Amino acid sequence: MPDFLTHVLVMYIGLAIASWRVGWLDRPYIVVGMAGGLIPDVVKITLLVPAAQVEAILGIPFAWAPLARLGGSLVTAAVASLLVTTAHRRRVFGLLVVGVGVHLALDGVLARPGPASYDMFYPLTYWAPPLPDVYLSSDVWPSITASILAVLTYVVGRARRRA
Amino acid sequence: MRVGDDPRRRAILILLLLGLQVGMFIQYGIHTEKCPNYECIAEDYASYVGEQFRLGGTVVATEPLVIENRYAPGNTLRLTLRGIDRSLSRGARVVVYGRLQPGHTVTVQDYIVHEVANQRYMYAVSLGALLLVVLAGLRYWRFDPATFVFERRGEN
Repeated sequence: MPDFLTHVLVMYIGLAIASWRVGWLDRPYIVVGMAGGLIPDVVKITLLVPAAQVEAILGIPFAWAPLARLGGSLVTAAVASLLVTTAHRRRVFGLLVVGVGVHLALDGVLARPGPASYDMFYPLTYWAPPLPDVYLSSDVWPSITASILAVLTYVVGRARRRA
Repeated sequence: MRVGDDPRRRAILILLLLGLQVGMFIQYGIHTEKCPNYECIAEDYASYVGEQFRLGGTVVATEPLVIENRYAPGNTLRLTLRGIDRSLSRGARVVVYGRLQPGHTVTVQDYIVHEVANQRYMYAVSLGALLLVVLAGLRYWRFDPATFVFERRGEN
């Protein structure tokens, strides 16, 4: 993952710009999309409860990794979309899935030594696409750049509403 | 079956989905138990000498450069890295791609470093972003325990 902030802001920028054309895409929905951009990072539960600890307790092999991959992320999105009424469910699920897709794409271009990225399409395949190394998760510039663009997006959006 | 808004039906479907999720946790866990992994390399280092891997760890010594990977509670793999020409401080997280040599040494072909200060920045900014999303979420959505749904504020 790049830091959470970059994921959240990239979703904000994309959805705020989309909202200039898509009438129903208002702030409550944009926030849902921003949350969707964090779904694969639910895997960070491992910082609180390491998989090895779960293995020790349950006595079976265990890994949180699917949460950060396609299959687990879609399941998380499906669970979340069952927590809204049918009136909002399709849109909420759609926004969460877009968030998941953008997150996996941003994670795919994280710098990793060696030939491939990671098995982001699990459980469909363990294949790790060869992708360029763009940034480190601990780099400062992605979140700074995203912050500047997010402020610009907000300012332009406000000017458009007033015009 | 249409799920609709009925709390019981939704709860059942959520439980089924969580079951699927746990199934993947276990399946992936089984997958990562297959060699090669850190445990295999730690327990039978000699048989992996000459092979190339992506390996990560925290810097625990700098002259020479040694990283430590805690792959399980109480179990660590220590590797000496050869071929990194920049100076690193203890606590930095390093991921390398390289070839295992005798004596728990890796000749590094490619690597990345998460400096301690950058790790702190990443965690701080991530925590802030999480808080931002939670607060924004609660600003526009409200959980109603009676119907077991998040509702948009201002509706009803």
